[in-house]
Amino acid sequence: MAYTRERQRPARDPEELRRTIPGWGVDLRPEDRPPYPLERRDIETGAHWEIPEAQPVRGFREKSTEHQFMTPIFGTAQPLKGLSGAIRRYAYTFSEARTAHWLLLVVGDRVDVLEHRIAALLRGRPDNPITESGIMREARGGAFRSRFGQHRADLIHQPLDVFVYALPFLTIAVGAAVMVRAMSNRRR
Amino acid sequence: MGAEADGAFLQHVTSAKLKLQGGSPVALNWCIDSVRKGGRVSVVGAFGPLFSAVKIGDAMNKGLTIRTNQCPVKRQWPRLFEHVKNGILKPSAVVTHRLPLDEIAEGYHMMASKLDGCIKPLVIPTGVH
Amino acid sequence: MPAIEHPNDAIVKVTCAAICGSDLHLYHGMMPDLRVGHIFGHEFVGTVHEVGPSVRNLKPGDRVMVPFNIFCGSRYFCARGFFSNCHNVNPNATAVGGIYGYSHTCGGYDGGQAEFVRVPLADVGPTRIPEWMEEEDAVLLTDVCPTGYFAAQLGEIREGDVVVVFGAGAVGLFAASSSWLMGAGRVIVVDHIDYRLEFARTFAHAETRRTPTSSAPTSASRQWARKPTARSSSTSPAPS
Repeated sequence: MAYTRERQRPARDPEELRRTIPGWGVDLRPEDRPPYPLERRDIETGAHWEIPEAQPVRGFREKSTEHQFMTPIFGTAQPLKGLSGAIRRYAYTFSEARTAHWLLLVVGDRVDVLEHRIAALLRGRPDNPITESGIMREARGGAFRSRFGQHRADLIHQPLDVFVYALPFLTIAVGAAVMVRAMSNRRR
Repeated sequence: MGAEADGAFLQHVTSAKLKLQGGSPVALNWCIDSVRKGGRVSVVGAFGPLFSAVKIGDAMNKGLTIRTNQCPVKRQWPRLFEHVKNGILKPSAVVTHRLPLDEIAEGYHMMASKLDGCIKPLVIPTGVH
Repeated sequence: MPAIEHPNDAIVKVTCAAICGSDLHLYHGMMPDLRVGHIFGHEFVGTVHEVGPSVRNLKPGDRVMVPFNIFCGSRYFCARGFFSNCHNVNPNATAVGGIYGYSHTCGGYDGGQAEFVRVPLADVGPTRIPEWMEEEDAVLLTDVCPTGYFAAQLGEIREGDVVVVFGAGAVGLFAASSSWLMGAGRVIVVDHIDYRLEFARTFAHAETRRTPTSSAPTSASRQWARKPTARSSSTSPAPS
């Protein structure tokens, strides 16, 4: 046996497709497709500036080393603070091409979660994993039906999700237990 | 949405759980495997900036064209508006759930765990409608 | 409540937002520099609540749909049509443009799963929702529908092509539908969840295949698409 010149199973007849599928072939011509060609210089964007006016920088705003200067527009949400802020500030001293840049940011994210969980605990309003994680959705029905009989490939690692979510709480609990034990040992 | 493609346990654990990859390249690797030699692969959605274990060697040996970008949405609008107006496309047909903003945590859990036939949930802020 | 930070900002009161499959990557902590308190949501529509002094094209009360890209519209990449790769709006990373509610790696802009959202460069991004368009169609047009269409476009589909879409989420469904618009001969959607495959059959008129649980998708997909002479494109908005 050998592979032949032509395709082994022809595609469906275009006339049949046109009849059965709404809109089949309306964008057959590449010129009708909007991102064609991908690079175009004649698109009117609504910009009435050559260079956008620069947004004022208040305090420290982190910037990638790959940028020559601060971009004229930037987000101002969640400025850096605390230990996670220090880790992130350090991460931004590395080039984007370095893995250290991204891994330090990932570490900063985890430290940020811990800081906020501890702060919430100390404020007397601890995070509630029952009502605030969305797990209550499971009680609305369909939890079993959605997972079994659907041939899902992700059930094998879903138990890991519970562990990953619980990890900051476990870390705080273990850390607190270690501290309490150290303090009671010192008293003796 | 490539970053959380499912179907290969080791890829999922190293990417989605341990965050050691920018995204699970399972679907992308399946694309590379399944397309014919000389074929084209297009990749859209979301990947993180870390590297991912993509089968670039196979892509090279098969002579593939891989094209990818974040979608420039506004460029699509003129043509898509025509299609919606002419009834060829009905985007809201994929909406499966409508939730108040207060229940967004449950919406995320439902979407993440693929409960209740969830494809696309909408979120309505309080005081609207 | 967000504030006007730049003369061309607008504050939009959100009337409808969506949760995207890509928001799950934030939910699972996979984007670096995601800070506690960050508001997610890059698919939203609403009414203009307040505008900065240099905004010309919008006024308070306008119903607007906002593309998930933030872009300046004038400089190197925007001038060439690469609105999703603007270099002027994201100081945190050069590898990605500005996106609402997608961590500081995408510029540090809070997103639209909220009551109000700051929309920078309001003369360039948002568009008034046409009178004839329903709000739910508009919110789907801010991300998933154009992304699926764009995926089909990147595949350079020609008449009669065999297209395989991996992932039957919203983007995959639109990629499959768009493949028909571009003249595909066969559209096959692959996923591992039955209800999503059913949706692909009814919404996108696609053939469906389940991802094999063994590690042999290659041989299976060769049977599906009858290679080697079938021209095929695979798009990868993956199961999520």
